[in-house]
Amino acid sequence: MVRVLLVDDQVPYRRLLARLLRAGGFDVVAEAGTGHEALLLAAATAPELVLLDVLLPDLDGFEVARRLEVDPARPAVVLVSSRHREDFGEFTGLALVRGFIGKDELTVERLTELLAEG
Amino acid sequence: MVGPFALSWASSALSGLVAVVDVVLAATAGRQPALWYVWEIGSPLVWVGVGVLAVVIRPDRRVGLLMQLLGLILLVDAPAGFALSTTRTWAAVDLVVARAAQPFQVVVFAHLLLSYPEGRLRRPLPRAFVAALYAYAAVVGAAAAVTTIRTITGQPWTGTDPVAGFAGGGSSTAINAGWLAFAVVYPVLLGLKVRQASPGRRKTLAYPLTCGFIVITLFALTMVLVVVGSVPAANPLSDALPYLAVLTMPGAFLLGLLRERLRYGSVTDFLRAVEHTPIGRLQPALREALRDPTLRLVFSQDGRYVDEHGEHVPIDNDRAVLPIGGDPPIGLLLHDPALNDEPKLVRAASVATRLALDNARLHAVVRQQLAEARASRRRIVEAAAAERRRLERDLHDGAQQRILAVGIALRLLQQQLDPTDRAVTEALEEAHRELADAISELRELARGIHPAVLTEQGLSAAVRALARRQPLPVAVDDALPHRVPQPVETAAYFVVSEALNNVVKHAHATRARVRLSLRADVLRVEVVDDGIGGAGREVADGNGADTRAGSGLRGLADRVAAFDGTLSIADAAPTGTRLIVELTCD
Repeated sequence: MVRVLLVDDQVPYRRLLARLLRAGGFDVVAEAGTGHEALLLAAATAPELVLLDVLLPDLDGFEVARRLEVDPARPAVVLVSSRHREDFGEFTGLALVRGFIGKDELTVERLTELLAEG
Repeated sequence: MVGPFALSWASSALSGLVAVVDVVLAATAGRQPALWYVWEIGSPLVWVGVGVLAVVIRPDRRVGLLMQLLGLILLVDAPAGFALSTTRTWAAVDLVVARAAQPFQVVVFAHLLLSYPEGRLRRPLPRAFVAALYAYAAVVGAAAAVTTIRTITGQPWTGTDPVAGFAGGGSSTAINAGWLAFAVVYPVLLGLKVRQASPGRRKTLAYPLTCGFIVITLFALTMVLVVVGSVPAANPLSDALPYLAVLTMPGAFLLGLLRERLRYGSVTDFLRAVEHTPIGRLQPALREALRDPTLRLVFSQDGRYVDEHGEHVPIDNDRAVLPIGGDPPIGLLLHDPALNDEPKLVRAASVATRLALDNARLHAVVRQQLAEARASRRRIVEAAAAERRRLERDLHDGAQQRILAVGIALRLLQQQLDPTDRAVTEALEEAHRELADAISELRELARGIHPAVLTEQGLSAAVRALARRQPLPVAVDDALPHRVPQPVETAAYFVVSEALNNVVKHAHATRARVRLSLRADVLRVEVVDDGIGGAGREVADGNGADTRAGSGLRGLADRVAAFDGTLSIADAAPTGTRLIVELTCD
């Protein structure tokens, strides 16, 4: 089972998403509501995948992804947002980022597909 | 009260008449060379002419009338110097009048010089002195008339020879001693006049008073010589004095008046000059206009007076003080007291300064209000932009997240249900589609309020995204080296958005181009299309608000104005419309 760290500041949405992922065969090891919380939990739980919301109250998702690069676990990062992909710039420079999924199309199938691509 | 011009006319007419009588007398009975008569009648006419000029230059002064009076007296007493052969009675009468008038020529001259340049004696001492002179002249004139009548009637009237002395009184030592007494006192009064005059006034007085002083001194010297008996009453010096006076004095008087007139005339220039003079330049302008290099302009501040730099200025007693504006005055002019002789000039300067100060003050007030209005308009526009950003964020964090959560809940629900139940599966699929549409609509709504891409990536990316969504090809050229302040980005974005909106709706264009460039602190936005054009005319005609495209453009103009920006719309070549907006990024 893939160990997942879920990062999103919208608590009800995050809880539901965690349930959906667990039902879909993922092991959600921790949930974070802010960028700093995410970095701490990533260090503590060594996840294989970080499902990272782009818009967070403190750091944005890109910054969190950049800082995760020094984490020895080097988890795969999938960025998610309720905004459109084109609302954000390029993030090719981010080594851990495997892709972007809009929240409206975030399903277990889509996530599995994306991870399989890399 | 008879006006100066009427008096001048009357005096001139009378002088002309007397001159005609003099000419007739000289032509019919004169035994002297013609040139003598030309001088005797011509020189008074010079005084008359200069007097008329003086009245024209300064109608508010009596000095011109005094000059004319001097000319008239000289014309009346001219026959006293004539050598005549005649038996006509009117010539004898004329001679009596001439001899009686003769003493007055010195008196009027003295009066003129002492009262110059106003033509009025203000101080009691000169006033009494001149009055005494007139009284003495009347006595001497009466004595001369009696003597002349006695001479004429004592023997058959066949003509006359001139008696000595241009002041009248002939060789009478008593009379000449009287003249001498006056001639000694007179320079003292002139000296006092000069001493009491302010530096500015002394400049006006310098030339006429020097000339007059020399003439009077020579007169006194002659009288001394005559009284002590070393020269006869008829001597070359005393004969030369009237020539000297006529050659030097009228011109001197006129020059002095002209000098003042020039000063007076410059008030008009001053008025013109101060119209847009900043307060700091007013004092030099006033100094120039009033020919007073010592003049100072001071302003009332906290119960004392300061200059334009805020330095304290003490009010000296030797300066004349002219208040500017009402009570209390907004300022004071400290000037040469000589200017007080020019009440009109000083009043004009006061009013002009008041106007200039009011002007400057109003300018400052308007500038300040304009700056405040600009700042508040800018604040309103910025607040509106911030509110849009907040609203977009709220939609994103609120409604959109809830709908997305419902979507996930539906997927969880889907996993619990029997996948073979077609009705349930279809209902769920329908719910998913509805949710996707809702999210899509919500996104569009949020983008219309404030596009997330603008917040996240700035103007270039937002404009590119906007261009991609247009139904016609829109090329984007952007050369922005860095992001500009958020309020400017928002304003520029909506300018492009509204402009493209107009292009799509009204221009019938096949393509459009957006250019963004930053020069110094000015963001330039250019939107060009290849459509039918004409949008510029609608705005320029002022009919823009009535047209469909116009109201949007008006809104653009308002938005742009909040950033001290400019908006121009013109036809593009060969067809289409070019909209250029420049916004200041400060």
